[in-house]
Amino acid sequence: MVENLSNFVIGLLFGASLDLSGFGSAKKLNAQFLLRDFSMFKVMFGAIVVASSLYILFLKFGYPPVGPAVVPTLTLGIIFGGFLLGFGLVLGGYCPGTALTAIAGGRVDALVFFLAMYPGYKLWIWLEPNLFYNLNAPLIERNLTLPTLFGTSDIVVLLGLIVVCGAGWAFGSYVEKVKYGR
Amino acid sequence: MNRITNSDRTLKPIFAALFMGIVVAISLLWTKNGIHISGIYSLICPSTVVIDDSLTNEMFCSPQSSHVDKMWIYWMVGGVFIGAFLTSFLRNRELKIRIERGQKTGPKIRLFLAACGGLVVGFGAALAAGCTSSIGLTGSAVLSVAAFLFLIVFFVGGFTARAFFGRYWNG
Repeated sequence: MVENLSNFVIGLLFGASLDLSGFGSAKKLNAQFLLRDFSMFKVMFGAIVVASSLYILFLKFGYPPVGPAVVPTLTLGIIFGGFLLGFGLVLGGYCPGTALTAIAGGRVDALVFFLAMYPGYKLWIWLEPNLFYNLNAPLIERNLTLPTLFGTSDIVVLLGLIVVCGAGWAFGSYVEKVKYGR
Repeated sequence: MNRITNSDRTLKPIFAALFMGIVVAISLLWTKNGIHISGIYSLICPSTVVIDDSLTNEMFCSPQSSHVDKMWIYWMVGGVFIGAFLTSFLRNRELKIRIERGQKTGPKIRLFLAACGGLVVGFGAALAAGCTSSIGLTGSAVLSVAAFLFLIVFFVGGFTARAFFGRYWNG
C-alpha cells in the first residue's frame, strides 16, 4: 500500500509537471517537429540532465541505485518501437503520458488517441508469437549504461550531456528568435 | 513580460525542465521505479508468450513482464491524470471540452488521425516495452545506452511523420 501511495504522489507531481510544461497540448508538442517551438526538446533534455545530476549526486552519498528493470536494454524492439512512438506522436498528436495529461485538460482527441492505443498494444501481443525472430533479444550487454560503454566515470558522461543539452538549447533559442522573433 | 510563466500560465522551459527533472529524480531515489505510463496496458493485456527469462526484457512496460507485481502503475497513472487535471484547472479556471487541431484540419479528420496515431503508438509502446516517459526520460536519466538511442530514433520517427502529416498541424 505504501508503494502504491508513493507512486501515486509521484504520478501527481509528474502529471503536474507535464501540464505546467504545456505538454497537454498536441499543438505545442508538434511545434517542435515543425521547428517553431523547441520547448519539447528543451524540457525533455533539461529534465534528463537535472534528473541524472541529482541521481548521481545521491548515489555518491550512498543511496542505493535503481534495479535492472529501470535501465532499458538495447533491443531491436526499442529501436523500431521508438521510431513508431515518434511517428505516432506527429500523426496522432501525443505520446502516452502527454495524452493522459491532455485528457485531463478536456481534449477529446487525446481520449480517442489513448483508447486507440489498446488495439495497437493488442496487435503486438497477437503478432509476437507468430514472429520467427525475437525482437526483445538484447543486442548488446544487458542494462548497458554510457559510463560503462565509454569506460569513464558518470561525472564525465554527465558533463558531456550538459554540453550537448546546452548546445541544443542555444540552437533552439536561436531558431526561435531568428524565425519568429521570440 | 513574466520571467517564469508564458501567457497561458505554463512554465518557461528552464523552470519546466527543473520541475520535471526533480520529479524524475524523486521517482528514481524514492520508489526506485522511475515513471511508467504505457505499462498500464501491459497490465490490461499481458502477453501469452513465455520466452526464456534470460532473453526477455524485464522492463515494467514489457508485455512479458506481467508476472512482476506492477499494480502500482495503476496508481501512478491515476496520479498523473489527477495531477494534470488539477494544474490544468487552476491555470485555466475552467475545463473546456474540445478537440485540439490545426487551423485547416477538420474535427473528423483530426479524430481519425488521433486514432491512427494511437494505434501506432500503442503498437510501438508494446514493441519497445516502454514509452517516452519510461525509456526516454527515466532510462536516459540513469544514462542507459538504449534510452539515448531510443530518443534519437524517436526524433527521427517524428520528423519522418512530419514530412507526411506536418501540414495538419499548421496554423
